[in-house]
Amino acid sequence: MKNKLIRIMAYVYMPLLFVLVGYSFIYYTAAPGIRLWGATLEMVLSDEVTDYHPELKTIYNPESKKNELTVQEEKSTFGIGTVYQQENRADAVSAEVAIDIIEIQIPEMGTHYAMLSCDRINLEVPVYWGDTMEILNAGVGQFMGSFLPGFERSILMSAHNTTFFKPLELVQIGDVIACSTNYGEYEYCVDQVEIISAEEAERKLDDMLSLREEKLILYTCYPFHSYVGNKDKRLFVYANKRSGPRVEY
Amino acid sequence: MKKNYLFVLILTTFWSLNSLDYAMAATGLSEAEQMILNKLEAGVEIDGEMSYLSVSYLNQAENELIKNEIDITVEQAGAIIKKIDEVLAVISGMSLVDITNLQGSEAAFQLLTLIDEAAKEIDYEVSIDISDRSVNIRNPEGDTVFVASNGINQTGAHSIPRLEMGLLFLWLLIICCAASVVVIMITGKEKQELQRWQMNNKGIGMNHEK
Repeated sequence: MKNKLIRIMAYVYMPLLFVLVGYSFIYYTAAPGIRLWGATLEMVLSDEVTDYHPELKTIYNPESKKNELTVQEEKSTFGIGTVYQQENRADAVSAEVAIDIIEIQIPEMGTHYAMLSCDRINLEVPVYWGDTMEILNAGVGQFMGSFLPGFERSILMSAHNTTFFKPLELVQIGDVIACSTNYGEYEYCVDQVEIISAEEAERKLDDMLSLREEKLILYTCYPFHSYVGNKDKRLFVYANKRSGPRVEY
Repeated sequence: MKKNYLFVLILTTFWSLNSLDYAMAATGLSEAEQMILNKLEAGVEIDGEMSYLSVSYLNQAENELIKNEIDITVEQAGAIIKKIDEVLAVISGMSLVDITNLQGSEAAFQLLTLIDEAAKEIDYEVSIDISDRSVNIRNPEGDTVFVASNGINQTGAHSIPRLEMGLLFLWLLIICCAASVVVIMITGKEKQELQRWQMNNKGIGMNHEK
């Protein structure tokens, strides 16, 4: 009787087991394809712009300081790069102006808080606080062990050399890199470009981050025209602060 | 090596910070907060050699402390510094070899368990990212405020993960096989039909000859 029951039940649980195993196998093996087709369908059918990075947020408001500034473009006297001269109104920011930290919203990890640009090399990219792989797929990531613009410390940013930091292959000494935040417009002048190994960069990291002067440090993988495999070299761009309000804290 | 003990140090700081009630928010870095940073910066002697907190960790602590929402009194700072001293005492009791081999050891597990318990009490969450073994700390709002990982990223071309690459290859093979089977079946059928037709025609021809 018991054996009969077991034999009958086998007709139930064995197909169930096979269905579960089969579906799991199909799901896991087909997942990359399903995701791709799903994303393509969503892109085609959706009437809204798809948000590919739902975990990332933004506090950057391009209108917050732009209203207070009139920006005039002038060619640099050296003929290299572009210099922006800001015609400030009474309350506008400049290198001498200090901002109280209470006016600043310090971003949380994964927050878009600034725009980085350099006209000569056609660079205009969003800057996020933090530098996880997800952030690097969305824009430029700032290492959380460095400081925000205006804090008179080092600012370490990275991005992929095939996307957001591809223009860095054209960077030259003298180029002016602008960083626009909600609390002020910052300009940095490139004074050094170097290619070093990733190991050496790790060794130099503490020195880079312990600077007591404001320096924008951008890096990306090197070389640029190799799309396969990990890169063991990094291109570092160092830029000194030219203008922008100091943050008091 | 240094990182192992130093992350314990910073975890303790975060735990201590949150275990005390926040006063009304003041701006930036107060003297009390600066005292904590100075303590973190001072380092610890291990096996007769001074070890210091990685600058990136120190900067992350500073970035957290300067937030307007966090304000620490001198008394609170004193309590925090006392806790840091306790951690330092434990770490300085370890040898350089112990600290070097801390990762994955029983001591590390014990430390992490203790820190995690402490963190849970004050709603901070300590987690380890298995993919890169980095230690993360989240504030009560769920935002990551500290990451103990490598400073220099891999910023080269996007690479497809090996597993997905393998599966993609497998799927391509399956599709190719299925396509081949279909083609063989169709062509096989056509051949059979052709042979049958030829046979029939031959038969007819033979009949005619007869």
